[in-house]
Order: sequence, then C-alpha cells, then structure tokens
Amino acid sequence: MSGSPDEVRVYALVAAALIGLGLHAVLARPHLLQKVLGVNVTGAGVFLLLVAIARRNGDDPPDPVPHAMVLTGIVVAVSVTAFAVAVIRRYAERTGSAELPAPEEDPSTR
Amino acid sequence: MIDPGLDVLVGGGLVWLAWSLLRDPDLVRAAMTFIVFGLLLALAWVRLDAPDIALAEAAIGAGVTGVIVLDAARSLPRPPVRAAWPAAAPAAALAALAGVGVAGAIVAMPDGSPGLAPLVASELGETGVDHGVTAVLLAFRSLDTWMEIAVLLFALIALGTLLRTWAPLPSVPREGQDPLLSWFGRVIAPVAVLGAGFVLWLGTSEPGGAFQAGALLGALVIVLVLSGLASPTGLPPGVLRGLAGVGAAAFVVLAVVGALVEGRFLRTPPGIAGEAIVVVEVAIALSIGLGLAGLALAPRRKPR
Repeated sequence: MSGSPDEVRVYALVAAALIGLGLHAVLARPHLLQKVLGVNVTGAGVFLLLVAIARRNGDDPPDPVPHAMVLTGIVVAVSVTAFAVAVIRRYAERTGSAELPAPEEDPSTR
Repeated sequence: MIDPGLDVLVGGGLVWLAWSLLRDPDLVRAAMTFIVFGLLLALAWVRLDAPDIALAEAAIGAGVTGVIVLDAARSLPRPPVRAAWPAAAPAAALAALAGVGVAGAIVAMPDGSPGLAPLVASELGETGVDHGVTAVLLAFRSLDTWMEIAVLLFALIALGTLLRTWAPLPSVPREGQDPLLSWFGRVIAPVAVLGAGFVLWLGTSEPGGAFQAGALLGALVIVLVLSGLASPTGLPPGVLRGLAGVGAAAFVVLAVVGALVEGRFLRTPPGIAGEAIVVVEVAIALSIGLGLAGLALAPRRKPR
C-alpha cells in the first residue's frame, strides 16, 4: 500500500469534514454529551490529518513521529472524555438536566 | 493492494457515521454509532499504513471510549429537547469555515515530503529497538509518553474526587446471571494476558508495544468486571492507584538513572537501552491497562 497522493488527499479531506462536523456539534448541540461526542469526532479528524500527512512519503515507510503523537493523543482523548463525562454527571445531578440553556434563554448572558 | 475505491468508501462511511451520530436525538444509539465509527476509523488507519494506531484505536478509541460514552448515554437525562440552538447559525458558519480552511490547506500542500522519517531511521540504531514508532515513543520523545501517563493518572484522581457523591450504576450482574458473558470472560482471560505480553514484546521490532498491550489488559479487566467475574470494589483504591502509578514511577527511575549515569535527564545508557525500554514498557502497559479500566469502570464503584 504505497501512499499515493490521491489516497492521502481523500483521507485529508475526510479529516477536514470531521473537524467541521465535530466543531459544529460542540458549538451548536445543546446536550452536553453531544458536545463530548463532537470533541471526539474533531479529535478523530485531527488524528486522521496527522496520519495522512505522515503518509506522504510515497513508497517509503510513513513518518513515525506523527504516529507516536496520535497514539499519545488517543490516550489523552479518552482521559478527557472520562473526566468530561464525570463533570456532566455531577452537573446533571445538581441541576436535573444535562443540557445547557440556549444562549438566548440564558439569564446570565443578559 | 491499491484500491482508491476502498478509501473513498471508508472515508465516506466515516463522514456519514459522524454526521449521523452527532445529530441523533437517541443518545444510546449515538453512542453505539460512535463505537462503529471508531472501528471504521481503525480500518482507515490500516489503509494509511498505521497498524500501531489501528490496534490502539480499536481497543481504546472505540472500545474504552465507547464504554464510557454508552454508560453516560444510559444514565444521563435524555433526550435533547431540541436539535440545535437556533442562535447557533454563526457556529455552523464557523465550523464550515474551519473545515474549508483545512481542506484548502490540504489541497495546497506539496506532494511527497519525507518529514522526520529519515532522521528517525538514521538514529534508530542507538535506541535498542528496531521499530520506528516504539523508538519515537520510548526513546526520542519519552518525555511526551511520561506526561501522557501523568495525564491518565490525573484523570483517574479527578474521577476519584467526583465519585464521592455519585449514585453508582446498577450493580454488576453476579457471575452466572449472564452465562455468555461469564463464559467469554473465562475464555478470553488467558488469551488476553498472553496476547498482551506478546504484543508488548513484538513492539520492539514490529507494530505493537506498550500502548496496545496496555489496551488489551484494560479491556480484559473491563470484561471481567462486566461479566461479574471480578468485583469493581475488590481491590482497595490505594492498591489500584498504586499499580496505575507504576508507569509514572518507572519513568522517574529512568530519568534519575539517565541523569546519574549519562549526565542527561531521561537518557538511557546505550548498552542496556533495549532492555531498559522493555522494562519501562511493561510498567507503562500496566499503568495504561489499569488506568483505562479505572476510567471506564469508575461509575460502577460505590462511593465512599
């Protein structure tokens, strides 16, 4: 499987789409767990971008440095997800809802 | 085999799954779609010649993250009242701009650039291992790996502080209540332990290593607890955290030894570099395995 430029571009464009989709979910979805899923999808897009860039060597083996960064990033992402879910759970216990109020309804933004 | 059609299918599948899971009002279904997304992503890693990442993604990205998100989806209030904030049109524009910007940068990139691969290849001999990714993780950028183990530990400790007032999830079924899961737990335990050791050893010269071995061990602990074969509160929390801290401790030892013997922080003496790396990898695998299991099983532990 050599890294043909077209193959790399396909995955890099997919990465761009994932980053856009994930960012939108973080900013626009009201439910906090949906935001966490959005962060994970954005992360997946960033990792895909890094690995696609690492694959630009052509016929040589791919660059191992971005691979190591992505491996580290996966573990950090799961740690962040676990902590975020724990905070959401506490918030839901305190307020009874797992959603943030919409910007136009939030009294603190007046 | 070069088949660009397969890449388009995998890539298109990823985008479709992501779009579908992020707009799904049924959070449990969204969590399950997320797990499938992670598995398809593992296939993308294979297509991009990143087998180390594929192994880790399937176990950690899809598996452990999937357990965490699925648990949350089942126990949080649901479903979302509305699909998206009406005032969020600027957010959609910003996200689209980010996506278009990244896509533009990608298309403008020059084709074919070796990156750091030649540098890694030329310095590989001194590290004591033959596999590029393992060398980067454990020799060239060992500081990053150390900090990542620390992040895992911090997350565990932070979860521990938040646990104090939790209502735990419904109790784990006692052994025998789900015969398929109990049978699976029994059968998979020795396989997973052997597999983890093998993958760890393999990582010195082929794709594999501490992260993947740790993910296998963590998955095993999760399966054992979920099938009722082990109790989540069996080990006193101090012991669990102590074992999870073994990885960070190993790095401290390595750093001190390196400083004393070689005069530089975290530098392994070249003669025993290979063996030192394997020892540190065992410690890391233990840390990652128990850390991941701790993160995923935290909601099931009874608060103190």
